[in-house]
Amino acid sequence: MKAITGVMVSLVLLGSAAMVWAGGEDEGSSESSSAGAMVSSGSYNEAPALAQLVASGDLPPVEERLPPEPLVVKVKDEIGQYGGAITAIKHSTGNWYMIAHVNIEPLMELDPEDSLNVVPNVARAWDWNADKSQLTVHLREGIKWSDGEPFTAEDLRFHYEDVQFNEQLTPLTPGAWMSHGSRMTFTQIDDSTVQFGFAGPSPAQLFMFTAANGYMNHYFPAHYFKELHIDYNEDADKKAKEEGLEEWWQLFNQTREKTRPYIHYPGPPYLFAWVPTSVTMDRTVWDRNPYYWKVDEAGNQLPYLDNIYGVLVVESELVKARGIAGEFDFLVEGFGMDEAPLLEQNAERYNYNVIIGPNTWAGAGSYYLNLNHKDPVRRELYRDARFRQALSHAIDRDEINDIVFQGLATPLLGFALGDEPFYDEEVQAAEQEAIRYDVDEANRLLDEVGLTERDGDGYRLTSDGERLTLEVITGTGLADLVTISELVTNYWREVGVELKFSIIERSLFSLRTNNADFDLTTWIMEPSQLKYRTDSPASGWFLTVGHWAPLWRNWYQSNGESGEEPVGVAKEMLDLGHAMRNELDDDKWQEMGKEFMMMFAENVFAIGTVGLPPRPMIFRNNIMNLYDELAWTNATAGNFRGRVYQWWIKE
Amino acid sequence: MSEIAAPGAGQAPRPAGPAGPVPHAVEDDRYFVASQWQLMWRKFTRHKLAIAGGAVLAVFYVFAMFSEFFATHDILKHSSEFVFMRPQKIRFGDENGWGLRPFVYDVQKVVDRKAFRRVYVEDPETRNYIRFFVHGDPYKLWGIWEADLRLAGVEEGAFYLFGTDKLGRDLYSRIVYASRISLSIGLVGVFLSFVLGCTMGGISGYYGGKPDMIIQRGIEILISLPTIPLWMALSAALPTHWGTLKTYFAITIILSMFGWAGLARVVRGKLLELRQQDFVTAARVAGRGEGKIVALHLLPSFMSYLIVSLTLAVPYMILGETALSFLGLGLRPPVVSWGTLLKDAQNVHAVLLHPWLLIPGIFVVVAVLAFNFLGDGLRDAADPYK
Amino acid sequence: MVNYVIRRVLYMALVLVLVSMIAFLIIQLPPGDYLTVYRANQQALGRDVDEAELAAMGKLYGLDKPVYVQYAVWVWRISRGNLGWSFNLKEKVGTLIADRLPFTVLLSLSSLVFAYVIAIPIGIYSATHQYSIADFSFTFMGFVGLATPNFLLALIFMLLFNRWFGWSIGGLFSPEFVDAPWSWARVLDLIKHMPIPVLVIGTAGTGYLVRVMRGSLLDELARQYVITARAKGVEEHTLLYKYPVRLSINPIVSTVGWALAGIVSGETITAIVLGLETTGPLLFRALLAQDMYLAGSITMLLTFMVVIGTFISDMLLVLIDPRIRYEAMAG
Repeated sequence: MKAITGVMVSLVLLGSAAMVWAGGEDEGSSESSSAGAMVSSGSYNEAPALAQLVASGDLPPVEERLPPEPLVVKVKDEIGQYGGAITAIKHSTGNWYMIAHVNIEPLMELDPEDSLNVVPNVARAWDWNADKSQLTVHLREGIKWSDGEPFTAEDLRFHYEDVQFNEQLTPLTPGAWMSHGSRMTFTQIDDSTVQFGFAGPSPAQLFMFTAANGYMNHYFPAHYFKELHIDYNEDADKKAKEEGLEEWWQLFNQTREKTRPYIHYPGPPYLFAWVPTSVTMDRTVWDRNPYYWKVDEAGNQLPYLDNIYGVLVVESELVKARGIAGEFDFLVEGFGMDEAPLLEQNAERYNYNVIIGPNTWAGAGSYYLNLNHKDPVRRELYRDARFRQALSHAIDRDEINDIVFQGLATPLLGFALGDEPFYDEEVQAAEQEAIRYDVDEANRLLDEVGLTERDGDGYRLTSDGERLTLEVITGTGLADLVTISELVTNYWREVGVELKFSIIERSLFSLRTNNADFDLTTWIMEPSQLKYRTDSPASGWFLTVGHWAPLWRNWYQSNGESGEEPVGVAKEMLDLGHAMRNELDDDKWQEMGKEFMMMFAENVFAIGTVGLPPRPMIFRNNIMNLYDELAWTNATAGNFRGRVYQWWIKE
Repeated sequence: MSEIAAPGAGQAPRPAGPAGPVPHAVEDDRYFVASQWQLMWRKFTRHKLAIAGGAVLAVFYVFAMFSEFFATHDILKHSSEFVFMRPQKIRFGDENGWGLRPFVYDVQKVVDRKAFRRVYVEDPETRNYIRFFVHGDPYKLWGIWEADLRLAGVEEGAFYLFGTDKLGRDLYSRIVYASRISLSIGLVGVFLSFVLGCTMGGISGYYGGKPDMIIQRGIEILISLPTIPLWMALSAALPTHWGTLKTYFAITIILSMFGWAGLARVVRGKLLELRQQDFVTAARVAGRGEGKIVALHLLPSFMSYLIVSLTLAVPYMILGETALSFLGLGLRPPVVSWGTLLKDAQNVHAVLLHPWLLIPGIFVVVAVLAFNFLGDGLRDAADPYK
Repeated sequence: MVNYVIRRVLYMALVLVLVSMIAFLIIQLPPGDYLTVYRANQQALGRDVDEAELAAMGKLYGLDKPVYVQYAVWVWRISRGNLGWSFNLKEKVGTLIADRLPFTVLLSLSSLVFAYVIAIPIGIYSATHQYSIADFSFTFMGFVGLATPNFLLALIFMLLFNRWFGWSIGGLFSPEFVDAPWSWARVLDLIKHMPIPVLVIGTAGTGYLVRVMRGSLLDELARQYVITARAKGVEEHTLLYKYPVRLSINPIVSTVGWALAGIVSGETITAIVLGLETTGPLLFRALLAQDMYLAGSITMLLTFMVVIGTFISDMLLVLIDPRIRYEAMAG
């Protein structure tokens, strides 16, 4: 098994410079968590509540419920004890974080100790053919759905052939299943083996089977959904009519909506550690899945916790107030540094620990000039790298860090976190140069660009004689962006550039951004995910190209059919990003990554301010086996590493 | 205005029936020959709360007009040295002696890394005397004249009367500056709905019949539409290029198109009641035109109600602005209004750690109170039956 | 009289149809649709949304059809007792509203009763002790209640009451009772959570009602019959309660329909701050999410309540005041 997973381990790992302050997280081996010793069969333990059900004959014994070879989980610190429940927060009905941390079972996972290492999960093993255009996946045998039905390759076949590739149910094939411009193929070899075929070398595709960005389900409970599918049930239309709908596909998709990743409703069986049993708008209850297929190294069937409660609290101040008052057992998002003193004051009284970890945003507020601006004068100006460099030099990042984040963030250009394998000293030097605070240099560059004329208020004039006013738009909901923008307004005024900002409703913001209808936007910047190969200029947020050149992004997304073809150094860079995704030669891949980063830093496509902003989190102080604070971030292409199923509560 | 007042004065004693208490005989003759406006003024000046309300508003509006001068700081200037600093005490003395010149102690920022707090320590040894009419941060009065004269300031060190906000900006200056927008921008809307309300209500009540029926159904629809969807739809539908201020202005105007319904309803009711009265019949017999009868005879006879509804509409507008800001539909930073300042204070940390951020709320309450008292006084004064 | 009522009912039906169209139009006014919002929200959470996902959703929810078709579908489904499906909450709109409405009504009624119970006696006292210190302080307090933005009051009360008395923060129930079946303990828990919202929502109304009550009682007290009665030596207490108080309460009571409807749509902000899961926040979030059928249905429902409330108020007025009855029949 190690030989197979070893493919990805071969990636060079550099020290994670930007993550130093997260503390010593280097302990623990990069050993796959499934590599623990096999537990001899017949010696499994189960939760007392389940044992009772077994005794009364309502449930088969644990040995029958578990697969013959369950996934053995190496717990974080120590073997736990059964029992207890935790109350978590639902920020909104479709909230991603909480549920994703608690419940997500993709085919493969990223190692919680080493995020570049892909480890088995539902899939037991996999192998590539020579040019990585065909992936054979071996499923873990004997896994059962939470209703006791066996999980087999049929559940994958149904998912791909009858749902994903069915035009009525899925009018457009998701990008995740596209490679080299064509849809991947699916072949079922036997009950536990499936094969995916791609039109060319596609190493990146492996990450699509982890919980990568835009994670889609990889399988469906076929026995449940076939009841709703017209090919398997002639009465499917009638069923839909009973629900007040017209046709079968409506009911099918309506049910499918409910099982979309991160949105769980009672009804269908799941493979999760906890299964939703009651969902009202205000509260969701998850019960232990008696058929969960993972055990700890002592042979205890996981999870340890009996229940998870998700309580809906939407209003952000209410989230903070209730969090401070200790109403949740853990709360990882919702607090800012303004609440940190209150958390410190109340931690002892309400029995929680406060951890200030970084949010792995490369930019807590980055500025993107619209390189696809409709006005030719503006477009030419924005496409001038010197103009972007000047604006970057005008920003006092240390002061932003001090005022907004109490000095706990890191000044960054906002495209990398520094833990990328191709982020070396040279790239670092280029980044440091780009973010240097130097008003004189900024003024010099602006003069050089030709913005020498000024009006009565000291603002520069563009070549068509207008005051150089940049209108920055941002979506609602991120308070720090407003604060940072207020500061940047002041900085840019110093160099004669007027910044006006408007906060608009998030959906309108998204509309205007996608239509390239703006001067400047500001938004948070997710770190580059080049290292996971899941990123490409075609994806929605590839280095936020969708923010600074939405039409170019569309061009990649539509394979050149719509949008605009990029030009100049941007084209070079974007092409490089597109090509390196499926590069087979590791050395070459490494080189391409570095070249990409250099181009980005030298051309300042995004004007970052500070990154890795501090984020206060609280955990009830009797929760054991917690992973470090980075487990709660989106640093790893959407693969969370919280592993709540091995948490336990110490009495 | 006196044109309206003259016939009104003649008509006041005319209606039959209980005409209220007869004025005291001790009052001199001028009382009986005084115009209605003079009578109103007399009564108004006896209403102490109303005078107080009026005075407060006068002060507010003067501050709003010359906010650059009254503010002690540039409202946009940030300072990393004074983030979330509590208001400074103005002193006239301490154990080291007393005097007539007000001063503040010098303050130093100390960062408590463990508690994640910035603490500001006063140094009783260093007094920073407050000076008046000083040269402070430069500004452009009304965007035209460059100046740097400010009401007050200190030579060195910090001078933050109401403390500072998250960016270390002076809260006092921001409140002063915010009053300019909060006390002005909604007035247009208020005026528009007033005119619309009087017109539509007048038509409906005076003519009755078909116009009345149509207007009544229209009013019913307008009144019954819940406001929040309306606000949200409007603020989302307006062009996002407009900028916050323009958008908000547009919203107030559109809202006034909906806001007249309540007033129109009352005007109609009053007219229905009044149009049967003798003085109207008399005017009609005397050959007055219909429009003139409504405008000159009927409307003035419930002037008191109109004035009150006008003065009460203003505070509702101020409150409405804060509510809209809260919902994220009204003004937004960098525009400074009482609503946006309060939105900043709508925080757990503001209430529990930085309560001075709630000071703008006091100004909203005082302004609303002042308008209400003024309206009360005007009502009492304008009521011819009292 | 019967004629008048029938005519009003017919008008009301017409208004309701118009309102359903306007409600739908309002929902459609902002650019974009649910998919736009969904995508923006998911992106803000750090998840890229595939075009395919949007396409499937759009087809499922009929968002790929023109607006008038969507309206027709909505109306047609409503006529069959189906209010539609909430895109965002993945639940039947009817169920969602039925879940929330009882609490909305409970909260509104409690606030209304609170306001009336406080306001009417104070109004009477203020009017009979005009310009006394108590009158001034009531007036002042009433105005302060009226003038303080509700959202601020709600937050301050919530945090301070938690700090001082350990009251739980926000919500209508403690977490353990949120979806528990009804029991005495749950009722008790609900009662414990009611004071703050009732106080906050009620305060604004109280200030207003005190003013109205005081004003109309003062008007009434200046009338001839009161003066005559007093001259005849009727005892002050009897004199006050026999006619003037009853007459001045009449208009307040008869507009209860409007007041209730006003509170139902007015509690939104307080409910958002306090995290009360009533129809207000449900509507607010549905509008933000452009969750069309949910937002449309609640808007319609609220509007209907006002229209019906107005109707009831009008009827009450007609019954109480003969002059209006005359006007109504003549006009």
